[in-house]
Amino acid sequence: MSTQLCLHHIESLSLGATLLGSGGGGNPAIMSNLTRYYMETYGNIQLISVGELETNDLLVPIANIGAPLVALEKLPTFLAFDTIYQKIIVHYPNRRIVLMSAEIGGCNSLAPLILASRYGLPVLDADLMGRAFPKINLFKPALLNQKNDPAYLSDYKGNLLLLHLKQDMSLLEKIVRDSTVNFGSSAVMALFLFSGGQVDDYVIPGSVTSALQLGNALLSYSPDSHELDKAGIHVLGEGRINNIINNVKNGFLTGYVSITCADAVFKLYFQNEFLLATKNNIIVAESPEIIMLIDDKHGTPITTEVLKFGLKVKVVKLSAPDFWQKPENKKHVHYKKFDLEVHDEIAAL
Amino acid sequence: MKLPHYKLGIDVGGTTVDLVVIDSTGYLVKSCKIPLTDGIENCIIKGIKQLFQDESIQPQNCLSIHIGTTIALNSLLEISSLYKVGLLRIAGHYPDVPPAYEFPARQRQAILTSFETISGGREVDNQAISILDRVSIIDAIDKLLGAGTEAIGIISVFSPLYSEDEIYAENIIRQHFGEDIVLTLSSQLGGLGFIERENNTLVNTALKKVMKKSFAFLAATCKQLGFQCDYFITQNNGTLISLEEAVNFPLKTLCSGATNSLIGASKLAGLSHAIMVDIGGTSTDIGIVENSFPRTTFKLANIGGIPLNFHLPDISVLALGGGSIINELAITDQSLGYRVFSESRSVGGEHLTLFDIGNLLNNKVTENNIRITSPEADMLMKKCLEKISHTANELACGLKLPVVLVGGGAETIPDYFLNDEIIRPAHFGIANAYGAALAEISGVLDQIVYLDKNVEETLYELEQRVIQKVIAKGAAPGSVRLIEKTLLPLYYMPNQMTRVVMVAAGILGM
Repeated sequence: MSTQLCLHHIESLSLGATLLGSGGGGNPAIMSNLTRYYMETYGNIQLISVGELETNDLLVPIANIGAPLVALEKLPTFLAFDTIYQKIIVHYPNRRIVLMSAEIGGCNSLAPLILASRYGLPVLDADLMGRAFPKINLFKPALLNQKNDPAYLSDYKGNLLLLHLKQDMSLLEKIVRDSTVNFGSSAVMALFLFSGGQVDDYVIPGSVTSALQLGNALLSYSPDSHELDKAGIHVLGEGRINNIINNVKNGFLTGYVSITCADAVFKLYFQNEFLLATKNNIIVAESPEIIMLIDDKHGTPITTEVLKFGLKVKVVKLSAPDFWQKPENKKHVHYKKFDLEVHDEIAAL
Repeated sequence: MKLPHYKLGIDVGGTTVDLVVIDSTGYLVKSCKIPLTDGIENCIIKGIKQLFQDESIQPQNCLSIHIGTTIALNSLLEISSLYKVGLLRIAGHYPDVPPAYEFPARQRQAILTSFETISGGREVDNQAISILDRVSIIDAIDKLLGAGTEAIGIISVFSPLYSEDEIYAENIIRQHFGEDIVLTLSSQLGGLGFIERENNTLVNTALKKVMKKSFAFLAATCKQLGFQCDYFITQNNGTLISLEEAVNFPLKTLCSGATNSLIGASKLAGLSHAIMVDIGGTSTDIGIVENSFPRTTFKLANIGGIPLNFHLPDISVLALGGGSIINELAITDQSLGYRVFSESRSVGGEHLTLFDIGNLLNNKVTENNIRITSPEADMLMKKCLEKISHTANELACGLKLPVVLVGGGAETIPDYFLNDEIIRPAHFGIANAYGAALAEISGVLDQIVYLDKNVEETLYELEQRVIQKVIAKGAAPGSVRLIEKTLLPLYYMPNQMTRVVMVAAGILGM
């Protein structure tokens, strides 16, 4: 059943998406003013479910790509999104276009909304990842070897790069990264375009609704409330951040944060995203589970970029989307597949 | 000849101006309170004359004058005495969202007259987004002035790293529109993040009016009185900036009030880790000091609805103070405020207040005077302290820290409630001014570097640079140390480009 995304949903969507970012994904604040500004002018957005798609619909997943710090300074513009859209309607005439977020975790949750509001296009209640991961080869269609041709990359001056690549995700990743640097380290991308009929091989369904529900739980947060659990946010413990170790390694923010509680020490290891959580060196959560810290006072989710010494936090986890729980998919995102520096002897629960 | 060795700390509060003189060891030599009945400068001068009237301390022996003030904050909250600001955006990618977008309508109308976007600005690697030219600057300023602009804010993309475009624009504007035009460059306020820096620039430019007015004559008048020292204002993180810098960058002083009180309490008690409780007439502020600096909130500041890019001290406010009215043996949220001195039972008035309870327990009045028994008073005082310690424990989140009571209302707490965990230091009524007198000087470094090789050396070199910066401002070299170090990598960038933010602080030299 289709619903309306309104201005007042932007805050809960942003909060929920930050939580689903598992510590990474970029701050939705980068996109929220621009999104609000367009929605104030052009109105609400129709959110449709996977079941409402027609076989011939053209699904266009959209993502911001680049350094979040750059986008905070060189603000995103409508032009970057519109450049891609104008080309797509030429390439695919007479198709109903349905936009969607490529990655629900973090700032990309808002990526399709500006175009959707401006042109009255529907947005699909789904994404390609169900959370945030740092690489293109971890989109669901990439793991399932789906077609990604053409892909579009545009910058905020209206430059457009059209990519026709064979199924080589590492080449795509490399070209996209290098081009993004040449575009000033901030760009917009449309990738893994597909038809309504192929939806099962591409999307994690329901992720926008899920972000909205999580966001609402955080909006009504109070330190002693049990609402978090009802929303599927499991509190593993609470304490104070007493150590932050971070390094820049191959362009990623890598390290760990320790949280001291009354009876235990938590360590959360990250490479952009939190990927492993231990309690007294015993694993209590691991990728693809979503691991996050929230500010104990206000319930604000805390990404790995803004960890603050001395802050009182709750350590929380959310179950991974069904897709990631299947063993054949899970193995690709095991924490050992990432470049974490775990020096402690840790044990499984 | 004796070297200058006194420091004068001044706190301009809502109702009084407090002044303290300390010597080089931090010992409090003299203090006074002047009711804020006149202009701020007049009151300061009155206080200075009072402190320096006898021969024991001489103005020429004063090393520095440190002032803590909430002038800028009050002006912003009251939306009064603000310049009307026109904003020049140098942003060749032409952002869609207009400036002051998140401001409440009243503040936006009071502060922003109009804005113009022109080509220019830099990419993260210093390439021009597009070319900035003289004619477009002049055209834009003409339009802004035509819209009733009194002062100008200038922001260009990536100016905290590459400020040339803003400086070029300033030069053109001064050449063409006159040297005395009031303006702020966003790069002078630092901090990456276009929207927050733009908000900072707008607010800072608007606040220059009240700061100019408030401190127009202070230095000249003090010179006439025989002072030959430097003048400083305390800034948001509790450290000092010069008076001149404060007049140009009032934003930096916006939230120094709470910070001073926390630092002052911590210094008075001689504790670098403690819970500070500032009890006033109507409210009590509770905050935490760690490593001699206030703990700040996770969220960025939002003042009068305007989002700004710095962190405020994390303070919980209780509706509890000396003037709190007691009704049927319960402490209410209502307070007599300053009327406590004319309408409370201790002075023959009708209302029973916490002030009266304190007076009874301190044997200053009798049970008959205030029509309540001593056991009842004791029970109420315990309740008051329970309220305070409940909030203090919430803030401390399990940390076991001593509680330091300061502020005028701290006097109501009887001695027998005090112990090793609950401390009321000497001179507790002038913590803010004492905090200002002891404030240190600091410097910030915020830049982007390549950390692909020689990481240790690069960071060490930056540390030395920020430390030298603080020494150059007058800090005693041995006292300077790093108080903050943050590394933020720029993903997707070559050579491990990383934003490094470092803050160092030290004691103003002797």
